[in-house]
Amino acid sequence: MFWNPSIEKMPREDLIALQDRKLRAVIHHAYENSPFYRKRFKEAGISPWDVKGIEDLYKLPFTKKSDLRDSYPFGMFAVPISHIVRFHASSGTTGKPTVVGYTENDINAWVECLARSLTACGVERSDIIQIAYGYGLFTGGLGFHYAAERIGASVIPISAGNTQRQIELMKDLKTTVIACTPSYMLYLAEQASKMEIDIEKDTRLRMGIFGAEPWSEETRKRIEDKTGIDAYDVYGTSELSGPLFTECSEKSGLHIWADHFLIEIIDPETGEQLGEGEKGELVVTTLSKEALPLIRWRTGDITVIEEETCGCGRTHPRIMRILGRADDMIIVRGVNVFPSQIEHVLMGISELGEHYTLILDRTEDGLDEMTVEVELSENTSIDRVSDILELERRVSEMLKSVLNVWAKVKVVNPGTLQRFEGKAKRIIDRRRI
Amino acid sequence: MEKVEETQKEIRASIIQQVSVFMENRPGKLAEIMEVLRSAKINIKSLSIAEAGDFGIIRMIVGDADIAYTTLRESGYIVSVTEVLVVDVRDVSELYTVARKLGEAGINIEYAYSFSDTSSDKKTKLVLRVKDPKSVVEIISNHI
Repeated sequence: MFWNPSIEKMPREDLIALQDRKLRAVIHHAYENSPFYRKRFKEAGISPWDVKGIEDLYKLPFTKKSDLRDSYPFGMFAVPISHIVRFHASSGTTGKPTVVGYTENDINAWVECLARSLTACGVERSDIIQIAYGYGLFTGGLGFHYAAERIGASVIPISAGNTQRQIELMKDLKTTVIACTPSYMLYLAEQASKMEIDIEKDTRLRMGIFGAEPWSEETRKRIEDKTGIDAYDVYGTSELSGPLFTECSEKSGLHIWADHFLIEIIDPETGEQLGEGEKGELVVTTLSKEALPLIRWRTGDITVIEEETCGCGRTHPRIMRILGRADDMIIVRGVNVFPSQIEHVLMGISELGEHYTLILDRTEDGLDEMTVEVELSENTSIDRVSDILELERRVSEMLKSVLNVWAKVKVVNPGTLQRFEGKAKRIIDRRRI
Repeated sequence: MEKVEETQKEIRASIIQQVSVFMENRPGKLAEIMEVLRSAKINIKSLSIAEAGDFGIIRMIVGDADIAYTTLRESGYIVSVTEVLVVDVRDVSELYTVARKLGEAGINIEYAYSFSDTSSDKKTKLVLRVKDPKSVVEIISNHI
């Protein structure tokens, strides 16, 4: 099913011509109306007339999260506040909060994008969709709300939390689609079984759209096995609007609507553009946004771009599942390594628990050495030294095939590694550079 | 030294539960595990440690393998209970006989250690880890 077939299946050359045109327009709009961008372009010695099309994109400076924070609240806005019809804001866990504003057209473009995505992953008019993302300043709840209404589905605007009521309503109102974070879905399933409700047998739930936090293929499998539903990935950030892009029914990457967003992959260290299939930081330029245009916005998210036309017939490029955050990236022997990749490998091995530490050393001859210390799962049975050596070798080989760099693996007793809230602290870098 | 003689006597072999514990190779680790067993009043008849760099595996024959297993599991250790073969040997010639029989039957010994059970007879108990201990009991007990 297509929401807007003529756009979604537009031939690639036409799509690129459209992007060239819209890029020129957004650059002029930003330069003329946003004090921040005018200053930024002047500092970089760039006139809006220097950008003829997407091949000139590399000339433009990046926009970072800190820019939005420093110009709090309205310094980056490119329309008068009277044109704003809605605000969303992120809590400022790492400093000042950030505020985004939307004109009526911005809201419409956002709803259009997510309506296309929902249709692509199989949501229909006849569906009953339970929106368990938070409503309010967070973009998740309202973003899904308006897109689901636009396609004509029946919306249950329950917001996040209140788990018992979620399960009751899911059963009584015959919910067919749920939108929430993947970890909340796992929690819901667990609580449902405590209430002696089997999601697969006792409800009509057939699919879920999960995002707002990084998750893995292993988690998808767990959700699908546990609940019998189809699990789809959704991506979007509040700065770009909110939830925007989902996987289509092929479950092979998330379609990025190229008439509204222009994407690049860069090396997070050097800022250089990388090619299709190369792993790096996702950089997005908004092509339609009026209130808060973003030029080369560094998302901080690591992924890979796939340009090839999808099996579903959509010509718009796809990004693969988010692999991690650029801030977490480490470089080992010149290879970019993301802790989330290591996590995915370890999660797939039943003998291992979930806690690990990554230790980086540099030998006297200047070579990096990476050691992964990982706790054994409590249910592991070990009697021979060779059992352990074999396990360590197997994990090492799996890591090598995913990371392209060799890691020594050391298994330890459960409960011996330090517990951390965040991901970053699991890394101990002892290299002297 | 006693004189070593060939013996035709039957060699006794049986199956016993062995408790194995995974342990990091660091000072103080053995004491931690012993403290767990001491508090649970579990007696150790035999103990051996196999080490491989960063870790080791302690193998023990204890008074009650089930209680030892549960107690250690609850204290957060990776424990397993394995069936091993225990052979009573009096001298080197009996040990030779055992080893020869296993060799002839094509049975591989994965590891072995010994202890003397002071409570029973004067014989040395030889612990052997083999693939199918039940079938090996018969091979050893058979007269040549």
